[in-house]
Amino acid sequence: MIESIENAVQLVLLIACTVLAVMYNIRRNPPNGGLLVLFFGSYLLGDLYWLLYLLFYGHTPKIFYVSDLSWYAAYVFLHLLLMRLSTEEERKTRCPAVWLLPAFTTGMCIFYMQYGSYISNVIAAVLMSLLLVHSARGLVHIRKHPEAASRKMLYITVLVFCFIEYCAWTASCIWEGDTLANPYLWLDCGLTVCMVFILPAFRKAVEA
Amino acid sequence: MNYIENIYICLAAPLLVALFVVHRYRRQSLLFILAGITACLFSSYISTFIANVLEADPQSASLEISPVVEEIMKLFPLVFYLLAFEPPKGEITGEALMIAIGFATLENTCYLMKGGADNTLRLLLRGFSTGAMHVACGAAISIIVTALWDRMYLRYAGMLAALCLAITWHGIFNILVNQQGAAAVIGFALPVLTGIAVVMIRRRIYGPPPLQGADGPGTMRQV
Repeated sequence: MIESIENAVQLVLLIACTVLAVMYNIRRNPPNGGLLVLFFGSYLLGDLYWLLYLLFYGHTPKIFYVSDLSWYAAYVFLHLLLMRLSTEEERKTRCPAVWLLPAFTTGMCIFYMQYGSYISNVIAAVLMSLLLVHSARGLVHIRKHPEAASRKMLYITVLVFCFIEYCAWTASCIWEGDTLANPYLWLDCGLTVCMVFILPAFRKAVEA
Repeated sequence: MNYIENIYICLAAPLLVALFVVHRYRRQSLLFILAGITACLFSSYISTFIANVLEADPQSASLEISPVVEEIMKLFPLVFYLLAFEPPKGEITGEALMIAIGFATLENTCYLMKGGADNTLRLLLRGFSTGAMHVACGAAISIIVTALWDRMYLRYAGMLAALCLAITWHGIFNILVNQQGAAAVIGFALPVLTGIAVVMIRRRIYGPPPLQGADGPGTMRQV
């Protein structure tokens, strides 16, 4: 019950974010604003499918998690957004330490494979690696080129988003139970707050 | 029992004959409608096969298997067209719609064979909901792909993400129309609302449609 309430709050906030992103697009027509709408919209649809299924049937899907696909789509749209906002020079920035991030996601993927399906965990690891590497590389580039600092907040928000997502996934493997003592609930709340911050971060990145 | 192959032959045969007669541009449209009908036939087989293998009940098959299989099968002809013919930017929206129309035609015909054609209201709802859902999903995918056309990587990554989005939208629609009362009404209204949203987005990206002449859409704005 508590998890459903938390999911409903996340859904409402995502609806608000999607509407705000659409309005921002209509008023300012920022470059790549459509991808931000698609990111929020995809996450929103995943949540909506999950909640409706729980509401009408009283249990989670038995065979295939359709909402997972929507969440993966949201990660892809966020990655495409970062790709399109970044410069060619930024994408060519070299920093060996950044490759520790795919190593981290691979390790976590192997850990999660004990609990979930192989394919979905591999897809999640690949998408998360792309987001983490792109954001971390962007931050390295900004340190060398302070004139590109307008995207700093966006990259930090995406990094925090990914790490909270990982913490939430790990918590859901270790802790069970629909109570407030379950850290997954609090991490999912943190994820929602982080997603809300993506909108002002994007605004700062495109308006600078 | 529904003999979907026989219905397929009935619908596909006139199109197949017409392919040899009509003008090049119309032939292309007919070919995509035929591809949509064929995609529907195969998705019916594949959905049934997967449901049997996974021992899924009808509810799980309708909510979790068919949206995935149907949307993937609808995308196959479009992906083939993109890879094999490399059409110019903005040309795939029409083709995606033709595939969706073909798909919805065979699906609705099978529905008619199964449920009869006596209830006008039920068929009106069916036509403007499920039929329109396929068209809206096809249009949404093609618009997203067109908007991300500038680089190959963006185009195909965007296509996969748009496919996932369409699958979820289709799944939500199936959940709602399987209910009673207000939820079902919302479900039936969803495709038409999606269609209106898609038209508005398309107008925003491409601007208003030209009054006459030009086959393709206008200059595209940045998305």
